[in-house]
Amino acid sequence: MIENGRDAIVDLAYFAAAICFIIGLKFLSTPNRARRGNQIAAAGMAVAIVATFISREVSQNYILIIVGIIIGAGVSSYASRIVKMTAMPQMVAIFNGMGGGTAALVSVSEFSSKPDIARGEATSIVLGVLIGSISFSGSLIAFLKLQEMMSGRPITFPNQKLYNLLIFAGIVVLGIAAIALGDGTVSRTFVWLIFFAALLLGA
Amino acid sequence: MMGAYVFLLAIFLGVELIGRVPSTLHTPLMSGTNAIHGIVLLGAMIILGEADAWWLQVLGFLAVILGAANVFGGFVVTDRMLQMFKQRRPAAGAGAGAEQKK
Repeated sequence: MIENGRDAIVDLAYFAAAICFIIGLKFLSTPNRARRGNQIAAAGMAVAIVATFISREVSQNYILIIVGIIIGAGVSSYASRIVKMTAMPQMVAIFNGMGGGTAALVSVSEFSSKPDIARGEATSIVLGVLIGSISFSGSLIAFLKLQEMMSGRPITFPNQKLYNLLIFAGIVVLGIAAIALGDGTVSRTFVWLIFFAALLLGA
Repeated sequence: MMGAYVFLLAIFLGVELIGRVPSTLHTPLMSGTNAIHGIVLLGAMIILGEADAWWLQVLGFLAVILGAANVFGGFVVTDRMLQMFKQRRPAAGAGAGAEQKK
């Protein structure tokens, strides 16, 4: 009974969070209520985070989780507060990239630790690794360029398009192989290779 | 299959919500939705919360840090952008100029 109760509370909390996101997004598109919309969405996120923390799936490493959140939240909030307004675009870029990195890491970890992964799940995992990694490294480059730590000139080298194409083709092949093979060390290695190759491709 | 329905409805919902937005709100909206996409933090928390092996803990820990940065940084940045909307546009320009002098 207790377990059912906890699950119910978590589900209800997620439901409330979804409502907050939808209303928040609605307000974000209205000039008068935009700031309130952002706050509502943030509140929904807070509820979702707490709900996940007490959920049944999260059963160990509680301190690591708290420390990780504090580090990420602390550094990003501090940085967000002190940069000039003109630096806003690159802040958005780098935070977006970090989210992509999270997604890629979550996908790789999931693939490497779960037995019996269904085809559909394997496909979304591979896509998650690909998209997340490209997003991460690409956003990092965007940040460096906007911050003018890197020149705005595109970096080119001979046969660049060919190399990009080869890397991408390699990723596709590995991806299909990984999905086809199901789980097991071979496909797990493939997924890791995709992770690094996609990072390269994003850059 | 349920997931497919949610996905479909979410797409339509998103298009409806964001369809007609004044161009001044484009950037804060992009920043706000970026913060919401930090919801991947929840996935990272679950990975870390189920991690037995040390390397899974390392990956999960990294993922949580990055995810938290996306969420918290994203909302703070969006709020800063929206603070400029309190007054009329001219004041917003002055606000940006004052910020630049810092």
